[in-house]
Formats: sequence, C-alpha cells, structure tokens
Amino acid sequence: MGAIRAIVRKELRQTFRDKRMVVILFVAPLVQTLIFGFAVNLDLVEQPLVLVDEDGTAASRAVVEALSHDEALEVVAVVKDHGQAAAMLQDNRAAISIEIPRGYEDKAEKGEAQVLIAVDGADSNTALRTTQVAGQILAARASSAQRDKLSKVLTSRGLSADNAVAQLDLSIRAMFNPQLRTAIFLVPGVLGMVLTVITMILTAMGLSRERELGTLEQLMVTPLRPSDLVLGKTLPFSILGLAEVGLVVCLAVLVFDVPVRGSLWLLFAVSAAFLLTTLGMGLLVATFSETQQQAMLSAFFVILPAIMLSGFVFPVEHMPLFAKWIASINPLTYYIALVRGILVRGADIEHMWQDAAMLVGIGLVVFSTASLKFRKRLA
Amino acid sequence: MTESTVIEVEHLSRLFGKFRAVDDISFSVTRGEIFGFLGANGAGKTTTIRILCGLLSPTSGKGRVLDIDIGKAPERVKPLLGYMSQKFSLYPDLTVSENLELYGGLYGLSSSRLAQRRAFAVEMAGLVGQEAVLCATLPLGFKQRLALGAALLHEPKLLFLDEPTAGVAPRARREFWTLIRSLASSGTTVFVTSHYMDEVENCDRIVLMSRGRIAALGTPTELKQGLVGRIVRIECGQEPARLARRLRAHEGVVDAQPFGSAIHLIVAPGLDPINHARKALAALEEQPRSVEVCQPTLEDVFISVVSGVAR
Ligand SMILES: Nc1ncnc2c1ncn2[C@@H]1O[C@H](COP(=O)(O)OP(=O)(O)OP(=O)(O)O)[C@@H](O)[C@H]1O
Ligand SMILES: [Mg+2]
Repeated sequence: MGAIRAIVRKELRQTFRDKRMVVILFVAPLVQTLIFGFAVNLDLVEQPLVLVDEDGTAASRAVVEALSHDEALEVVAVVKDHGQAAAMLQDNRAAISIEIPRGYEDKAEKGEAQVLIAVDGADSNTALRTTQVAGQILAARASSAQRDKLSKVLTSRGLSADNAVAQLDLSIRAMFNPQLRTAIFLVPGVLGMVLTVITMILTAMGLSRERELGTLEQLMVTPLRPSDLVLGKTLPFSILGLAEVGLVVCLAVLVFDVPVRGSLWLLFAVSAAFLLTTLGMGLLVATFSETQQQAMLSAFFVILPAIMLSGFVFPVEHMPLFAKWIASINPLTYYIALVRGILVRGADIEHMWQDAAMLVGIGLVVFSTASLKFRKRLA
Repeated sequence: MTESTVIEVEHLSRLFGKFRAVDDISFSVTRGEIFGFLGANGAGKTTTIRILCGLLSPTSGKGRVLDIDIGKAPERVKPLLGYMSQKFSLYPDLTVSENLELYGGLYGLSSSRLAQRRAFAVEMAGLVGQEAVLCATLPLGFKQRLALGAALLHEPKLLFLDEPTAGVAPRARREFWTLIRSLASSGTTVFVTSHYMDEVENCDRIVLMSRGRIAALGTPTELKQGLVGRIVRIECGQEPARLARRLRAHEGVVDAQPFGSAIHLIVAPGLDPINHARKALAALEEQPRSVEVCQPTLEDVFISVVSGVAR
C-alpha cells in the first residue's frame, strides 16, 4: 500500500512539473473539443443547388419553392436546360442539380413523378446527406401533390380529405437530435479520443521513459511488487482521465449546448471501464517498446484505426465487413455508443447493457493480458 | 556456506539465446569485503549483478545471497540489498528529497526513520541545503553520491555498485572510494564493478572477467605476483603501438602493450627481462630512450590474463 502511494505521488509530481504535460492534459482536450465543435461542422448549410424546371407548372414551382426554403440548400440558379446545370456542377458553382422533367405535374398526381438529382460526389459524405435532404423535400412535395389530387376527387364526392390523406405525408424526423447537430454527435467521440490519446500515450511513454532512463531497473530491485508498479503507474492516469471527462462534458454543455440527459455517474462508470482498455493498451505498447519513440509510434498505429473504425465520424453500419469486424472488437465503438446513449438519449444501463458488457469484457481481457505480459517482461 | 559468507556462486551461467553472457562462474564473497569485478565492455559484469539482485534468473548454476537461493526466491533478497545500477537511476525531474522520499517509501521506511535516513543520505552526498534542487541540475559526482545514499536508505548489509564512478572526475572518484571504504569498514559488504584499473586497487579481492568467464580471482597483490620482475617499461617516444606489435612477434616476449608514450613488455618466466628486452630491440634496430623493469599494475595483469598468457 505504501509502495503504491509512493509511486502515485511520484507520478503526479512528475506530471504536474512538466509544463508540456500540463498542456497535453488540460489544454489539448479543450482545444480538441472546440475544434470538433466549431470547425469540423458536419451540419449541412447552403449547399448550392441549381434547378432545371422543364415542366413550368404550378406543381413544379411548388417544388422549387419548397427547395428554396430549406436551410441546407441554397438555390443559386433556376435554368432552362440540362446542359447549363451540368456545366455549373462541373465548375463547382453548384453542388447539386435537380431536374424537374416535362410532365411532372401529371405524373405527380398519379404518384409516378420522377425527378433527376445529380450531385457532386467528391465529398461522398456531404453528397449523400445533400441527396437525402433533397429527397425528403421532393418526396414531401410529391405526396402533397398526390394529396391535392386525391382531395379533389374526394371533395367532388362530398367527402372530407383531411383524415384520409394524413398518412400519405412522408415525414422524417431525427429523434433526440432534431436539428442533426454535429456537436451533439461528435462530443462522445471527442471524449473517447481524448481519453485514448492521453491515457494510452502517457502510460506507454511514461514506462518506456523509465526503461530508457534506467529507473525501471532501479524500481524493480526494490521490494515493489510488479502488480503494485502497474497499479501505481495507471492509477494517476485513470484519475486524470476521469477529470478530463468532466472537463470535456462541461465545455460541451456550456459552449455547444450538448444535453446531459442521462446519469453522470453512469457516464463516469462507463469511462472508467473504457480506461481499463486504454491503460491496458498503454501497458502492452510499453511492454513491446524499447524506447519512447517506438512507444509513440506504436501507440499511434493503434490509435488511428481505433478512431477511424469506431463510429466516431463514419457510422459503423456503412462500413465494409472487415472494418465492421474490427469495429466490433474496438472498445472505442462501444464507449462512443454508450456515451451517445447516456448524453443524448438519456439511456439507462438497462437499455445498453450489451454495449456495457462488451466494453467491460474487452477492458478486463486487455488489462489483465497487458499487466501479465508487462510483469513477465520485467521479471 | 560459512556464517560470514554473504554471496556464494557455483557454476552460474546466463544465456541470452545462444550467447553466454555469464559462463560457468563460481566465487564467494565474505562479510565486510570490497569485492571488485573488473572486465571490458560486455564481459558480463552487469549480468552477474542483475542475477545476484534477483532481477534476472540464472540459466543454470546456483547462487545464494544472504542465505537466500536467488534462483528460487529472488523476491526475498530484494529488501535486503542496495543496488546502484550502471545508469544514473534517480529521477532527474524530482528534487533531491523527493527522490529519497520515493525510495524510502518503496523500501517501506516509517516516516520518522525516513526523515532520519534522508538526512543521512543528503549529508553523505554533500547536498545539505540543496534538498529542493532538481536532480537533473546536479553535477555527476553529486548525482552518484546521492544515488549511493538512496541505495543505502534502508541500511542494507550488502551493496551492489555497477560502475559507480564511470565518467566521474578523478577527485570525485577518490572521494567516492573513501565512502565505499568507510562503508566496508562498518561491516557492509560491497560488490563493485569498474573499468578503472587504478581504483580497483582499493578492493580486497578482484575478479577479472572476460567474455562471461572468470579469468582470474585474487587480492590485487596475488594477481600481480606472477608478473613481478617480468615487466619491462620501454620509453620509446614515437609510435609505441607499432613497435609493440613488432616486439610481440619476438621470441621470449609474452606480450607487449602500448602505455601512453611507453611500452610494457612482458617477458617469459625465467628470462632476464632487461637483457631480453634489449636483445629484442636490437634485433628490430630500435634505440629506445630508456629500458627498465617496473612494478606490474593491475592493467598489466588484466591484459596478460585476457590475452590468455598469464603464469
Ligand atoms: N537482455 C539481454 N539480451 C541479450 N543480450 C544481453 C542482454 N543483456 C546483456 N546482454 C549481452 O550480454 C553481454 C554482457 O553484458 P553485460 O551488460 O553483463 O556486460 P558488462 O560487463 O556489464 O559490460 P559494460 O562494461 O559495457 O557494462 C553483452 O554482450 C550484452 O550485449
Ligand atoms: Mg555493465
């Protein structure tokens, strides 16, 4: 017990004495949160739209009207023919073109309306989402055209149309994050990323530094047990890691209005479970590295794919099978899912016990393997 | 193992892969002795110490340290000994007193004993009044003495020092050895390795190690015995290395090594050293400034032993 305390005290002293360390610990997470909150904006705004209205009817004008009212799109031109629209896409004056062909009105009334959407696919993510937005608006218009027709028929027979057509109205609404705001989506990811980087890299670097300095050997010749060394080394970073969680969440709430709908206790518990994996990975990296440089490189080799294949930015469901498989053993995947659940949906552990079980399971496996390997390497 | 035996090693070997870092060594060390391990880079000195400290397990052979079998219970030996590793092993970003506090905590010292021992270590290192100084800023000589102080916090009966004076200025080295001698005279057994032949003269007994094996073992006087009257110092001025090489080819010359601007020549036993050296020089048509018999140094012993020609 005294030995663990001695190590923990030493770690904290060293950490806070190093100015760079303090920056990494407390400034970096704030900056990252701000960057992801402000700069990396996945919210669609004013995608330049060029419209080709070949129909020129009341129905087609209603479509144009509806499209020009959406925040995500900005109608930059309404042109007469297909060639002009294609040219505008080509030289980047428009990101999306929508062609309403001749005869749209007639077909819409029959529910057979066709519209041609062409989109600049260079940024596939934006393209996909732009198309979705446009598609929703078009679908809504088409069904309302159909409804107009239907209600004409119904009223001509002396019936009221209101109830009959309600179900035709196509409406897509994002639950819990109605404006589909990026900050809400990204904050859990930023949390996971900050925790991974800080706890894993600091553990790995700290241990390799001691190996390089020769202090590890000096520690090992004292009666300090290897398991106590592991504890003494990882405990301070767990505490610091949890402090970071608090810091990032505060910032997200204050600056980005990210809601905290679920239990903060649960959030910290889940974070602690996640720390088992990052600290374990840090130990593993330290076990297999001779120098700090090696440790740093190896850590990044682990961290980059972990972040990419976690659903942080790209949804796991859209990944190829191999990537999906990696994501399914990636603790960050579960952590992000859990944090999103807790913060945004206010979900309780009962609703997420599978994710939580996976996270704890992976954590126990990684940490115990790592400390075993590390202890072996010391002996 | 008699009562005063502190270390007893029998046929100890340690392999790294197929490489024999320590190759079948046997020796014993008695209480209060200063026991020196001398050897070139890679001779296996550090490996031997690490085995004896319980940091590394032996591949074969037996080792008992303070009556504990280090092959079986390396953990039990750790609290009993002090170890100053070859690398400076205090934390550069902690202060003098924080470093001592850390090691005191690791050895389980009570806070009152820690305070007392910390004062002792600071005083021994000559750092009174500098307790709050970061270790990184201390001169090497002070660092080494502080590391020694840290290794002595828990008052071990046995102390391992792995090249404690490497790179330290001559005066600081002498002071360090004064400390070692006073420790030994108060009953602490000191096992020390070194590259410096001159300071090893301070040891009660010496092992000469070469490529994992013990090439010679004895007191400094015993080791030099076989070479007394056989060393000729030739003052030759220029290119001693080249002349030494040519002399080596001469019959009756066991070995010739450059020593600064001079050459130390070892002649075969039974020959008149001066006459033989002059004959050899004449044959090479060399006219040295002086030729005289000199006292063997440990360096002569080491060279002759390592080149496999001693006695
Ligand atoms: N962990 C290890 N793995 C592989 N080889 C090792 C290991 N430790 C030491 N060696 C090798 O064993 C040999 C003896 O090393 P050791 O450190 O004991 O020598 P030394 O006498 O202390 O040398 P120096 O004066 O340079 O400190 C060296 O050739 C070294 O490369
Ligand atoms: Mg060595």
